[in-house]
Amino acid sequence: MPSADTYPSLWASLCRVWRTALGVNRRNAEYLLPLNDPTRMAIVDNKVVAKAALFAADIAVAETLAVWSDRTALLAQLDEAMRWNDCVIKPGRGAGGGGIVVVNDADGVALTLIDGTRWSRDQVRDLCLDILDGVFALDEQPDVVLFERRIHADDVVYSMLTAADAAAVGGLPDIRIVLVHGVPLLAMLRVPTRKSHGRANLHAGGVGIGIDLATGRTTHGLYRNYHLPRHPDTHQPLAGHQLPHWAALLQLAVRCYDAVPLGYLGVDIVLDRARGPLVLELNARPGLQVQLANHVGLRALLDALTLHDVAHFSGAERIALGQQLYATHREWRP
Amino acid sequence: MTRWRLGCAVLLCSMALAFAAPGGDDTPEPTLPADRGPPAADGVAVAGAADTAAAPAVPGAPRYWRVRMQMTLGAADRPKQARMYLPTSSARQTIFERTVWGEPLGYRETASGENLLGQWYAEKPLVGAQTVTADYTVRIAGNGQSFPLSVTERANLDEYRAASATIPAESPAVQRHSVELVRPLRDPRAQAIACAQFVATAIAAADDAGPATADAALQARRATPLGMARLLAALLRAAHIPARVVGGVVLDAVAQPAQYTYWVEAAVPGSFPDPDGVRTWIELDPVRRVFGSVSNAHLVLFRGDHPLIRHSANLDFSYAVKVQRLTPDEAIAELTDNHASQFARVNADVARSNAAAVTNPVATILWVTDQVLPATLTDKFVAAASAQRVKVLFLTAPYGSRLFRAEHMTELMQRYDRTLRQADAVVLHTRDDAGFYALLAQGGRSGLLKHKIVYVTGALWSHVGDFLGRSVMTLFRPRALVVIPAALDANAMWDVVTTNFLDGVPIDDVARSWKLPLMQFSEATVPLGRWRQFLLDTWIVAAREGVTPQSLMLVLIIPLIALLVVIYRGVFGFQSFGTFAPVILCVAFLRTGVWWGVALFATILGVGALLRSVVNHWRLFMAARMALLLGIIGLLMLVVGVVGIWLGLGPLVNISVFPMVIMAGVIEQFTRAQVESGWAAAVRMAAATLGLCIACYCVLDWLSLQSVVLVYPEVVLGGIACTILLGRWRGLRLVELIRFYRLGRHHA
Repeated sequence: MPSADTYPSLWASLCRVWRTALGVNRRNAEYLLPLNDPTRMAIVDNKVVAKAALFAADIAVAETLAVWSDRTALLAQLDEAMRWNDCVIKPGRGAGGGGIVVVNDADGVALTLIDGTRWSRDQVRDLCLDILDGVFALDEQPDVVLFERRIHADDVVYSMLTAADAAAVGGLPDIRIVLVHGVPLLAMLRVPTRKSHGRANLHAGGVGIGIDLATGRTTHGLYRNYHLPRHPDTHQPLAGHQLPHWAALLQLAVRCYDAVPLGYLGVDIVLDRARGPLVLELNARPGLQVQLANHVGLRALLDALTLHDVAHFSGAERIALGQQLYATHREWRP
Repeated sequence: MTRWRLGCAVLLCSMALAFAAPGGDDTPEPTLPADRGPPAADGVAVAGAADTAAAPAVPGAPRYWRVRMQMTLGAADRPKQARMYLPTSSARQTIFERTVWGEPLGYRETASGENLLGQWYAEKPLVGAQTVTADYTVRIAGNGQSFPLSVTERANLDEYRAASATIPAESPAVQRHSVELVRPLRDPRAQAIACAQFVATAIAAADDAGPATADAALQARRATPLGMARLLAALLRAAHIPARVVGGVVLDAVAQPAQYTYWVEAAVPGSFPDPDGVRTWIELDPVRRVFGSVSNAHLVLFRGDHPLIRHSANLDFSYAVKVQRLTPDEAIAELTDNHASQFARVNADVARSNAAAVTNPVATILWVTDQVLPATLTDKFVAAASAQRVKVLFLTAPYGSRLFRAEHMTELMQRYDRTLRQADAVVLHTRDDAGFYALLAQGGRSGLLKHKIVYVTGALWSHVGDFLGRSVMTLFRPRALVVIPAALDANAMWDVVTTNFLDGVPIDDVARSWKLPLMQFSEATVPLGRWRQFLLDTWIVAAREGVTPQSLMLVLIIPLIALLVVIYRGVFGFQSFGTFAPVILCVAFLRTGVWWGVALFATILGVGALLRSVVNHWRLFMAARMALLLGIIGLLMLVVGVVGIWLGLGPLVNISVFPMVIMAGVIEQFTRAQVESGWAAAVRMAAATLGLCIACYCVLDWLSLQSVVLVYPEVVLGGIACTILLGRWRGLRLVELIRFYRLGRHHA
């Protein structure tokens, strides 16, 4: 621990936070509204459409098995779907990870989920009907059911964080990269915990880990607004791990911006065991916790970004700019 | 006066369900169920009875009694009638509560001299025996040696000195005894007591067959109670001491049925230290050995030498009186119980009315308050009012919520409409501006306060008071409207009202001497500025059409609550279920009061979420699930409302306005938050929602903001401007600031 005199005064710290951190008010008013065109937001919010856009730009995404947009399709294909093992059922416009079911095994009669529970055909049908009714949708409007091939997390991420306990923790770690005007500014690794039931969402109890944009090394852990030095289940230290394929991940994120040019964009990337980096989904209003995980205020970065005219930058230039900005605005407190 | 009593009787008849309905059978039913009085109370009553039998009634604390008088009229082939004297309030006794019923007989009351005569009559031949009943809850002062003469009694004192046919003060035998008795004594009080002691010792008590006249009593040395009373009155009058025969009931909890009896009241000048002071009444009962004090075991039914009951000839007739001693607490409970039944059995513990019922009052005061008036205070006020022959009726509605208080006071005034119309002064003694709203809500009844003096008090801004005062003035045209814009306690307000209204001290002087803020309104009050006068006229037109100012206020205040929500979410950064659910809930809180509101919110949310998780297994689609939730909430509110009625909790009955749809939405969101983020997060968010509701409520309740929007609707424009400004707020929310700062400290 540093000695007491290295801490700035309360007032100075608050002022520094005030100047460097980006709050919801400013994000919505100054970035989301002007930068994110509502029609493009609609693309991002709808997983099916977003996947089509990414697919068209030759970006690797999870394989779609089926999309059911009404009851007729559901009832026609449900019996067949009961035999698809290794798949994920999710709502097309879901929010916060609600309504997502990961299927481990299927025998035509019942589905076995990754946590071992068995779902009968009727249960699956009810879930799909709920999704169609829009129970999990952002706007509670009728939605579509999306069947995707399940992504198997690359052991690399597990081995560095969760050690031998990987199977017990389960779930899928993902990497979120926030881009503004296509410039990657902040990134974080989201890791499920036992408490989050395999989900990586921080709201659900996942752990967020800041990533040094320049090097791809993890920096700080974040768990429910608190600093967290070690993984709560495996007790592995969270800081100081090198992420594999970091440059490739950044390039993938930048290509996503080129495919769906949203000024304020979050890209969720997973590392698949077989296929390498895949884009899991795009997010038009990434949360602000990426700042907390990195201990870096986005506002300072954004202010610095305005000095550069990034409109004509190539992907590589934007990556270089992002890494440079990150290196110069490392933390919100001295 | 009688009209009021009759009205009261009509009102109270409806609450006959408190007792067993009087049947036509001959077996006298017990006055009260056996479980009514605890054993301790019985013990006290026995001690009291021993007091009265063995020694003169010791003056002491007031005693409370319940008295039931019953007459049974047998079957008759012709129209019949029966009359009975009924007790009234006077300086020595206070009638708190009465119920008179005798269906299917007709009933009317007439004033007979200084007494009240109840008359039951059958216009058609009676088929079976009919019982008529009068129930009273009375308080006998018993706190002194004497009680004051009324104004008329003071004027008619000679009447009580004159000899009459039944009180032969000039009979030689009486004269002789009287002179012997009083000669050795100077003090008229001592003389009176000596006469009474002579009658008590020298004349033996006889039953109804014994001598009933004074002379016969002296001769036979025995007499009926009436005979003894006549003899004593004659002795006193022979000694030039004003005296009168009094008839009434002995209040003895043991000897049942209670006895009618007669005794004597003598008007004597004060003894040491004020021998020449004003004459006051003392009581002398030779039979029960009350010598010169006010007996708290006697209930006066009538004064004068009259038979208690008169009925048509050839009528098969019987009567009975039953009494029960009540502790003060029981008496209060009794009153509240009975009044609760008037108020549809709502609010038994709080809504209460106390009245000093005086015959031929010189003035009537209707006192409406939203504060808890302790029984000691009302007793004091009632006694003071009775002493001045002023009738006063206290109506209380002590609730937390301003809206509900005002509504309840309006309702009370409508219930006691008869008294309100008779009243010479109407006092609205409230914490804040609720009194004005209680009045303004009756805007449709424009002649309501004509020729009355209206006093309104409560903590409010003088501008608000001015505007609301003008509204009341314009709507109701009272003779004068006095507004004291300050929170006064009941004692102070009573003093202000009595000093100004009864003693005639100008209100300016009253206010100046007690340093009270004062606003007066009369026909001559100068009009307001153009815009504000237009506003006033608009509100008044609305009030005349039955749109209460409170509903206008609610409409105007919604944008201000919404502003609070904007601050709560945008500046503080707290989350809540639904953006504007707290606005609706806050308005509901305004009706139920904040604590009941919180309790209801928690109950409905808790039970709703629990049942919702059960329902979850059925996997209904969303619209059906919401409809089911609405059904659950509806049933829940029904249960809470019924429980509220049973327990007499007024605010719970108001639950019908608790917004169901909003609560269904909150439950749904709570369940989702619980599924997604766990119980702790869901409960935290529910608490945040509740906190927002409470915060909104507190701000609304603070500083008469509700009145301010009514008087200055421009405030709403200011609120909208603030909303726009805050909508452009770009800074960190407070929660974010703390979160970022706290995390920064962890970083080494």
